[in-house]
Amino acid sequence: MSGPLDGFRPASPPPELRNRVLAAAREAAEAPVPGLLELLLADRALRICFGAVGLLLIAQLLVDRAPHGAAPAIAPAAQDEAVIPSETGFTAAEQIDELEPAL
Amino acid sequence: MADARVLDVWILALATEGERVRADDLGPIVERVACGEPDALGPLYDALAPEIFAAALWRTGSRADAADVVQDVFVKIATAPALLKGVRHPRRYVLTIAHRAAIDRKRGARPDVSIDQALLLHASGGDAGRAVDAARATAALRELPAAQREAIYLHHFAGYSFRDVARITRVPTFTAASRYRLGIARLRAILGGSR
Repeated sequence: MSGPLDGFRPASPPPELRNRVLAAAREAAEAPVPGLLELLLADRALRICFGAVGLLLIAQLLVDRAPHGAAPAIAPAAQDEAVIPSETGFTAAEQIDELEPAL
Repeated sequence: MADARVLDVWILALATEGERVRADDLGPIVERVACGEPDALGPLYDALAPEIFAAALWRTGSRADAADVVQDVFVKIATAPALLKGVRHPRRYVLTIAHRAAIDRKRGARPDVSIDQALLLHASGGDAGRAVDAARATAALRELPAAQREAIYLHHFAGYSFRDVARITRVPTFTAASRYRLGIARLRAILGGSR
């Protein structure tokens, strides 16, 4: 079956491209590999994230160091004359006699 | 009914296309590059640059962009040669890198800059009549979407199966086959109509 592209061949790269590409590749291979921190700092979004995290940490430290003030006074439990008998295992109806003097 | 028959034909075409898996003869060169031997980049360039350049040219439509894609690919390989370690189909893998690089390059290009009028193909013989045909075929190819052009190049000229074209361009196999067939059909229509 003959196709519309039979008898053609695709365009070739220009001959001078070889030297240019290989020179660029060798240069890139010899260049020092950037460290992880450099790679991270090269990214703008990551820099913003780092800044935000840093600010949050500073804010957290400031909040922790701030004086919290005196603890609120707790009112003492009200005192009265009533004496609640200890748990005896009886129902309230059964203990009514014991509770009577207190009431 | 007719749709079902067309679908059957397509499925049959995909199945019987044959696993035109290219014997990857790059093993020793790739091993050397993966081990960080800078001298191995030259043979690797000789083996791969024509395919990378043509694939990028058919994708981007610009010789300058295609040359930049070739450079991008080799710089990437040179800076991280371990990428090629253990790759079963280096040729296909490198074309996948080139495909991504070509897309990135087109994405970053200014829309007001028009693509150059470089020929995407040449006549195999040297006669002037075929050269005119090549120019006309190039003009027709430029009317196709870039993805269809790329599929045509990879399947027709580079000889990859639809499955491999799909892997290189990161689309389903059916999509790769569709792109090729639609592109060829449109090419026939354009070239037939202009005769």
